[in-house]
Amino acid sequence: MDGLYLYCIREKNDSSIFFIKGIDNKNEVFVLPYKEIEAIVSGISLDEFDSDEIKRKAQENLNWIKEKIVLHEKVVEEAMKKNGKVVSVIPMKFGTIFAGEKRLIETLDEHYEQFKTALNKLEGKEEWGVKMYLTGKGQIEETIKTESEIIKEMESKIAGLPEGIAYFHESELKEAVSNEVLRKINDTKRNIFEELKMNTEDARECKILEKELTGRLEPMILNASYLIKTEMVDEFIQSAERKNKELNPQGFSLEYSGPWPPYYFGEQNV
Amino acid sequence: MSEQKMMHATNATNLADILERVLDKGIVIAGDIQIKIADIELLTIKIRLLVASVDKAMEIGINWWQTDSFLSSKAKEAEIENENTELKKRLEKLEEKIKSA
Repeated sequence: MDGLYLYCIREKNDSSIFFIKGIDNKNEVFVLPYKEIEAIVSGISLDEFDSDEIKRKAQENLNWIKEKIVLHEKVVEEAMKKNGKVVSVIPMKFGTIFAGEKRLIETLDEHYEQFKTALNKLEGKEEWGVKMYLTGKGQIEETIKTESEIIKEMESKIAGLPEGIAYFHESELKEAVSNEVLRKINDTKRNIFEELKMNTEDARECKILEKELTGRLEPMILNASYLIKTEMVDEFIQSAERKNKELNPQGFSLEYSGPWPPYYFGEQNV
Repeated sequence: MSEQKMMHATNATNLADILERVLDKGIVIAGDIQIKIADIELLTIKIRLLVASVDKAMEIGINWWQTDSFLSSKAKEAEIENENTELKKRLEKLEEKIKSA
């Protein structure tokens, strides 16, 4: 053990026992206090966690890197929990390593005010994620064909044309329908994003995850993160569930997850 | 208080979420060592992680290994090698027959 792997930073806290092992699956996770904050760390071998070594392992053994990333997350999650409540943390990016305790303390000192401010801002708030998927494009198309005035007008116009000419207008109609479908999808997700934003402290849209990553057949159309006051979380969940029920028959589904370590809002505030 | 559902890597979406957050979104402070995994590497890592299950991959249309020239040329090499060994064996047998005749 010659280096320290840093998981996250939080306010000084009297629960300092970690049940989970560190990133190397061997050394204990422990707390290194500094003034009013503390760093959650574990000892690591600098040979094993050398940057080139990690790159090589990431290429050769995916399970290795996957396991390390999940371990990182789990330590941060444990640091967030205290008697069933959520404690504010500032989660670090994967692979933040210090040569020793002295170097880490120097860094905590250097960034002390930033960390304090960020923790104050996150105090009593939780990060939750919301994802929307497109489950029934056909359904949306049907709705548009029966509801959109423009489309109905185009259809009745084509119906009155001789076959040969109608053929050329068919593709125009198709394009118009698919444009309307896209508009409907965009409007719906925008409305949901904004409606869920009410009664939250902050919200941001995140990267849409590809099908290859989600492992799902339905495309993701919205990936959002919200920062919510703890006392408002129940209401947020209820509203997300209500929206999901409303959206299902329209060809959309909505899922929420949390509380997450504030990866998105921590970043914004440090 | 709501039931606190903490996230675990129990399904692909959660795993993708965790990868995205831990690798891309965590706070960067200058440590003595910062492990950097470039974006492209990251993406291949992510995809290959999920291609653990071939059936699943086929279902969602990731079948690049079937058209991957490296992989398919590997397959061809192996085929040629097998043919070679087979031919050598037959040649040896013939030579023995000639000798003994």
